[in-house]
Amino acid sequence: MSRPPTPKRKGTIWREADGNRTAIYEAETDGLHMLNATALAIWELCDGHTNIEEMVSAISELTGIEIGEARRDLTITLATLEGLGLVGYGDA
Amino acid sequence: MGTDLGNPSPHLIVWHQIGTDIDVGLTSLVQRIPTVIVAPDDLLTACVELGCRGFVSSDASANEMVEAIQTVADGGAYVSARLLGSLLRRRVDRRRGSDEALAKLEGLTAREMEVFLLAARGIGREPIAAQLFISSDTVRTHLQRVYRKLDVHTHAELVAFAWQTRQVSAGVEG
Repeated sequence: MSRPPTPKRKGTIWREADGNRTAIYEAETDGLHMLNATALAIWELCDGHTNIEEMVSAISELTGIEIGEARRDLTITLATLEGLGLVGYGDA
Repeated sequence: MGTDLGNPSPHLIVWHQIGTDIDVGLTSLVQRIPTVIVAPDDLLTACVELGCRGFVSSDASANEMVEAIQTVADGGAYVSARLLGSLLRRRVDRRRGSDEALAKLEGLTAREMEVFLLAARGIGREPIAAQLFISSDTVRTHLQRVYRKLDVHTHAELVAFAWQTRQVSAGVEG
């Protein structure tokens, strides 16, 4: 039986640009990225031990949105973060 | 501090929390009227569990305050952006704890579950034995296994476990 993916964040918080955005620096790609509050919260959850289903449940419970919608939104955010090199999977 | 809201009832309340002691009156207010609480970050969990619709850090900007009020007034919920990650982390950890407890319960046999539920309600060994038509020594054996499987060490911990997993509810059962 396959287990839900467990994303792990990459990069470090460089500084808060303003109240709603935070700069994340990723050394591997030498990239500096601005994340809004939601993306930052998801990035912070990616500790390599929390799987996607746990994240979906927490988001749904906190916001009141349906599980399916929470999973869709989370998937999009994680895909974006992965594309930026800020999240990885497997042994990171 | 007493709060006289007068008449008619407000549509929304902005509560500026000073200090760490949350006013008892706030609890009933939050249940009845959408409330935005302005408080130090470390009160986030307490305020959210109270049921407030919005939480804003004490050092938030005026723009953020306006955004919180508008969001809650429109029927939504608001938390200061930088606290969202912390809130999600707490939810994950709490849910994980509940899942682990439920997994332990699933390890009990049917008879052990019966004994566990009766013991958690405060029923003594002899009445449990009489109710289940088994000996007192057998009840003790079952209880020992229950304690081991649930990883509890005292009766108080067993009751707390039953509460956590919602096997018992508040009140006294006769």
